[in-house]
Amino acid sequence: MRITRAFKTSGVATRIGRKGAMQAGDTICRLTIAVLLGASMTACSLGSAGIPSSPEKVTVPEISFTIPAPERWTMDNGIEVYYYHNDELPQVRGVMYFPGGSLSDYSGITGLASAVGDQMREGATTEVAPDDLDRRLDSLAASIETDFGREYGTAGFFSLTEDFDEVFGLYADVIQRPGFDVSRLELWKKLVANSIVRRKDSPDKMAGMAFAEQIYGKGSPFARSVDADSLALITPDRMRQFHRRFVRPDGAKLAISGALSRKQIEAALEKHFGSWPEGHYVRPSLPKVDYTPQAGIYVLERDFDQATVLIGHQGPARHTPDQYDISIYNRVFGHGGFGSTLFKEIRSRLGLAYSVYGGISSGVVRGVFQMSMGTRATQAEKAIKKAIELSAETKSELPDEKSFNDAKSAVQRSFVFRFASPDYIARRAVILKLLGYAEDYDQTYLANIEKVSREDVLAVGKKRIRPEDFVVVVVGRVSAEQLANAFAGTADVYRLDFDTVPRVVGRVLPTQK
Amino acid sequence: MRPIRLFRFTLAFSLCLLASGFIRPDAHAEEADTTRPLSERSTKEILHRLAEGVQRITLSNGLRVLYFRRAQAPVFSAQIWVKVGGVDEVPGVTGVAHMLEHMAFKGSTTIGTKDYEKEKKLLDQFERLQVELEKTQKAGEKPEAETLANIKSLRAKLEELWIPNEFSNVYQRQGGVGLNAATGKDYTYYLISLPTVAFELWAWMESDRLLNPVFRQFYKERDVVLEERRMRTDDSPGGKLYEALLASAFWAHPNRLPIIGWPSDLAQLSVSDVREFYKAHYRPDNMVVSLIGDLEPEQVRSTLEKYFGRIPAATSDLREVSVREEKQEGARESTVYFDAEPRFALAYHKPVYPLHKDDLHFGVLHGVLSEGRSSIFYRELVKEKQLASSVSSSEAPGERFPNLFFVWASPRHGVGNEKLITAVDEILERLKTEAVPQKDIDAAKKRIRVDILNTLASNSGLARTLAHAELLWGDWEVLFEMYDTMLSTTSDDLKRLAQTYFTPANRTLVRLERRKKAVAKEK
Repeated sequence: MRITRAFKTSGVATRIGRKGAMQAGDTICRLTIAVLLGASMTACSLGSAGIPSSPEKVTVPEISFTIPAPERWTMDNGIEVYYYHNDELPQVRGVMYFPGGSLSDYSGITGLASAVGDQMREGATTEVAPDDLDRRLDSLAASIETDFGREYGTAGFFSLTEDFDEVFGLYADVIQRPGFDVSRLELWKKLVANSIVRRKDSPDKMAGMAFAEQIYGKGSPFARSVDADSLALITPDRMRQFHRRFVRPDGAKLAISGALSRKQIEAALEKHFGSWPEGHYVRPSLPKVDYTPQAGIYVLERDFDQATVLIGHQGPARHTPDQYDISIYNRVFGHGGFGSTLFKEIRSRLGLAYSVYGGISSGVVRGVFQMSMGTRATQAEKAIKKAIELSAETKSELPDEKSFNDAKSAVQRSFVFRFASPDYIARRAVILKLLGYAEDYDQTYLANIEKVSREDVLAVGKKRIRPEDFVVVVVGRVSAEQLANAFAGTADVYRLDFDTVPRVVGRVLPTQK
Repeated sequence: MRPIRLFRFTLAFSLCLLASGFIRPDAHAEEADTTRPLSERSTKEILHRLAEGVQRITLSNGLRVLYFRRAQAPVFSAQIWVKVGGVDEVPGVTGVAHMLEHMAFKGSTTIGTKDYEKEKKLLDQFERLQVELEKTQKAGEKPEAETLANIKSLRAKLEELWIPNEFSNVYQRQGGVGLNAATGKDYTYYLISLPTVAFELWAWMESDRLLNPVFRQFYKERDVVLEERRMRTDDSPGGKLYEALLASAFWAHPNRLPIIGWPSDLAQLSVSDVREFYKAHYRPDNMVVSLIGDLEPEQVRSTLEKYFGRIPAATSDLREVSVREEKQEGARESTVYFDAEPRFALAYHKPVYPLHKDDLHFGVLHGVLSEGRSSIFYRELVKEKQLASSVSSSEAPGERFPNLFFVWASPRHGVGNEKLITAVDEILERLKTEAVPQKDIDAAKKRIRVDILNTLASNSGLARTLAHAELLWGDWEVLFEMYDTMLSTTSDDLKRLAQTYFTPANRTLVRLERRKKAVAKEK
């Protein structure tokens, strides 16, 4: 195999430490980054037996580490390979990513992408029957799994090094020569049909579907769900067509790591993927989101003690200039676990929920701002009002200094964990590339976070949060009438029904002032 | 079954010992090394490296620390395991072990307060009034307006002094990830991963929470736990079914009680219940600490001694669970009505290691029955007969006391429970007479080896495996013997398991079904 492009990225030494370290003259071009951080480094004042009297008085030195980088090269047919050597254990694992998914599938058949994602592996190959593939992989304690989502598809494998040749051969077959076995497809359809029936057993599922539909519009590629009619349209031929269009070497990226040398990996790739021809289909552009949601409270009265509540609206696309500000905003507001405003207020202080979180997630075309919680049905009104109030406050109030500093420090100091698992290093690099992140995203990340100010966080609230546009979905033993009265004059209330998909029954008018 | 966690939206991991840990290959492998597959040789090498690398430090107060150095990245995982859980509870205070786990995040005399001296006085008064109030309410009387006003004003004053969630903030500020805790039937554990530079801070924080805990904000946290119960159990068909299964299968042993507690117990749990439980069980000789990662051996030893050495040794005897489940003498069946698609759980009592080695052979049986697409359950019930949408086998609810082998299954829509129950029974029955093919047994064993390797791969997985074994069996190295036994399992062993345990008298079956329409009207 001729390597058309090989670039071995050097590791980047990173230090996360005290303020002032930046002035020491470390520069990006020397591939060394130091980051300002308000970490407390007070001189030790020791109590009895040399124990500091508070955690602030415990010395915590700088974090110093090298960002590990996978080796990268591109095969003649376009497969980009990201390889990270890790010989701690005698095993190999890899994931190949294919750009394109349900969002760029213009067949109009809901579920076709996920059918292909499931059936590439499940339906085995043109050479090996499904039961034989199952048995063979089980006997090797190996695995091959495939999946297609909205933006991309994946095919992963795991194998002990001793079985690598055989497993990798099967893996290549699954990717290049799937059999799309008819009986396995029928089984898959029946299981999906079964899960459609079970949707109404799960308040989370019902609330999530109703929320997506209200945010993006019924029938939007971002909200639609498979049903009996679309299942009937999925055939092996249509799956083969989808497969031809999207599963191909040009654009594919393989993250592979384990106890094999680069030479061994290159040889295996050449043998099994070297003659795989490039595809021709032009991948279509992504669909637009041009739906204006109808703000309001959508109520599904169901016999659950706990009300499942989702609140939010559409959010920004990926790679917005304020993405780092958003990271800190999220951490302060609702993604930061125990320390976040939502958790502190709604869980710890008011005892209204066990599970509560929220924030802005950027997406490929549109993202979402979403708050989620489960609260006893009798308190749903109180919890909803509180969550709305807390999110509205982020539009007018600077985050308090301590929460802000804590959030920033947490994001910076935990950065090292993104590279703590050797098997994740190559995968992470591929995902960043696939989602369009800049080449130096990791190298500049800490510096970019450092630039975020409290004012920037407030600006996120001002620009991104629009309580007047909130869609609220409530599922549980609540009364639409009571909520209509409680929110009279501030939000319209609609009644939902749900059999296998959500349906707006109509508006519920308040009966009293 | 997995223990219940403090925190919902972290990554779930399954805590199934039988699929995690280390193995030591049998003695014959030593001689014929080169002819053995690489996985076995490597597994052996890795295990030897591990056995040599794991250090046990026992402090003078009895606290055991297991430490293994791994310098892949400048981070470490730390876990503290306490041998106390749901089985240590008695009716009336169910849920207290888990409630205590939640309270362990509320801070100490230093953490979470602006002025502890001031706070303590208010907190004592507040608690007294709150207990009084709940007594009044329980008696069905109307509380006095003055009491309510006092409670409200005390609470307001306390809120002025409190710094909510400071414990977790200190960790997060320093880059801590995966802060969480979990309560099972047998144990409670606390976990976090931190950058290496924060090691001393970790020692400060954890020893402080063991030495000087303050159970503040108790009543709101009790509400949080009631929410947790609604989510996990009351509104969840799986949760309801599991609760009913344990209550049906166990009559005497506290295995029958839900870890999260009965709602009526939870509603009247008090701070003093939690405090008493804490004093009885959270003692150095009842805990194991595990530390895996980029830490220097000398630093570990001296830091542990400095910080954890402060904890006084216990002087009294540990409270033991004395009640034992009587032998089941007859099939038990019950039904849970729930507005959801049907499902069922089928269970048989079985012994646990080290009292009985059969426990270990069950590990291979699970592999044969329900791991992988070619496993018996998936192959026959999902793929071929197409009766089930899902079916799995497992063990619950704990490992310190005899537990249950059980099968969880959901019939496909329209199939109903009965057909699937019959089909599962046929499979279990067949195991009594027909030998499981050797290649299926070999596949299950190979999977166990792979699972073991995967457990070793992460700091937190290794920390969990070591601490869990040390805590339950007194010496983590029993894992070698356990895996030897597990990997020696023959088809005769599997046959014997089925014959011995899958008997009608030893069986409990719980169905979850929709209430029939006519019955629903009576409601």
